[in-house]
Amino acid sequence: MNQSHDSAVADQGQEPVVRVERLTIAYGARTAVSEVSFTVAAGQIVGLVGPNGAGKTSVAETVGGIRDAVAGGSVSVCGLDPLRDRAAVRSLIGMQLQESSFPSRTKVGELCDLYEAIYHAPAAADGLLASYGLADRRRSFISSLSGGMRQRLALVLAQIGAVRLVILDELTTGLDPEQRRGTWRSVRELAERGVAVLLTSHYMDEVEALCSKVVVLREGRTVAYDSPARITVQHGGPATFTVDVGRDGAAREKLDRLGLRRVAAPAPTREGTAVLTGSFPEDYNRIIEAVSAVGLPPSAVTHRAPTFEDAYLGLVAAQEE
Amino acid sequence: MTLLTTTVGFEGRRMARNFAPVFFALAFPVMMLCIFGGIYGNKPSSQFDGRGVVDSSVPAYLVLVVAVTGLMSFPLGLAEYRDRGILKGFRATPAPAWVFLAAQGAVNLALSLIGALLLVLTGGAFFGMHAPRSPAAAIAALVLGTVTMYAIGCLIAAVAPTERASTAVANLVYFPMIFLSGATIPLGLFPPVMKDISDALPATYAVRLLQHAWLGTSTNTVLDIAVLLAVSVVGAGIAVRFFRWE
Repeated sequence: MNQSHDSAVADQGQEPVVRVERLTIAYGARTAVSEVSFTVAAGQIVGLVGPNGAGKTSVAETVGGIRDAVAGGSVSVCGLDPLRDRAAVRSLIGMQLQESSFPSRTKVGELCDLYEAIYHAPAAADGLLASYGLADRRRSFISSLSGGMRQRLALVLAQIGAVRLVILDELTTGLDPEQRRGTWRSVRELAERGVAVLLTSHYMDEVEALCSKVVVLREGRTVAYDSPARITVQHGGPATFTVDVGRDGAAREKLDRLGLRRVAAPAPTREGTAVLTGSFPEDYNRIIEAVSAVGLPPSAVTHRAPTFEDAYLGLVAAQEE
Repeated sequence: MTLLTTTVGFEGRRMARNFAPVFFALAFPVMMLCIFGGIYGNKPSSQFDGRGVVDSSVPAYLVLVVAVTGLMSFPLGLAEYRDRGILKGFRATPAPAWVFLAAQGAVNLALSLIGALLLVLTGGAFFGMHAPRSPAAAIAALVLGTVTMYAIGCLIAAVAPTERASTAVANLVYFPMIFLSGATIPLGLFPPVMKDISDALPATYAVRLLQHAWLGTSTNTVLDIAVLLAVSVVGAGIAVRFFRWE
């Protein structure tokens, strides 16, 4: 493991594992993906997000070499074309497919043995099963595993062999919050070992927690490609400040003079609150100053910073009109 | 080679846990033979053209044994792999995808082969069954019948849109095929209308051909072989044309 981590470090600054350039995917006359570009370096986790039908799976499966509908642009994995150099590329990629299940009447160990034979990696599953808490499940039927265990098994299978890239298509869909957190840890460990990870997800907290770069797709086009933090800053909109002014007319006046946008208080908010939008921390500090001046404590002000999900929803909705 | 053997082993264990095909290929025909052999013995009977019940039944049941894997478990196994995205998942690995199809075919064929051996051994050991008149012709007839059943099975798997549809179609094909072809109920008992229906079923020709090779009963061997070959070629051709991975 140390060795692969070292090689990940050595890979930094070199050619990325995945390079997608102006990729266009068309099914017959329908263009599903237009001119999408991104890279995934060794040890990096990159997310593909977007509404259903935005083209996430199309991109993921094209990079994985199992979908051949490229109408333009290029995809390279370790310098190879996943569609043209199928045989060479497939041993470098591990994939977990969306809506793919396991064969019926199969035990965990049997499927692991099969993948070891496919990837010419004898005994590779033992360590992986152990690190994913599945070591004592070798003799269990896959059908008897919980949803979280099954997803962890999918992660184990995706890593058997000397894979440089792991593609995870909606890995945590259907898991409970605790199982999702467990799965996140596993994905991080995978990247720490120097494997490039490309994942799709509908959970923005997941993408924010895992990905250093995100491609936001809308109807097959890239509407943002950056780190979740920068996308949040650029597209998340203003922060929201709620000030508990009570019946204090002076406080209201003072707040009004700040020139910030007032928004209607949401329904469950009791009377006597003012809701303002502005920037954090600049406007926040001005509000604190203003309320302090009229003798209200700073705790009268609560703020809610925009999240990555706000930015995502804004990006996806912005162009819908 | 190791991959193929590993995959066959993998599919073999899955098959061993699949109750329906194991029962219908291994136990059911032997059970039928024991029941009817036990009741009638193997004495020549006028209803069977002067042959013993066991001598007549074994070649017919052999068709039953290849029909259950060819028409039911093989296509249903393929449909499951395709419909649940399992084939697609395997296609994303470096393994050539045909390996998984070949392994399923091999395991189903092996199951039928074991079923056939059990049937012949039971007939020979307990019911005084006579050996086939021409073992080579009997084997050839069984092979041709097997190819035909598997071609129809491939056709079912290829054209049925979903796993559920495959199950429905396989049942609709399988049950008439085993009950109306002489594979379970002797054709000699059929009234003319039912005989006409049985003439429309490919398995009927396999039963006739196999009984001819085994017992020397009269049949139009050219017609039998032609029908079986034609169904095989057309079935496999359409299956290849419509086959899809996902």
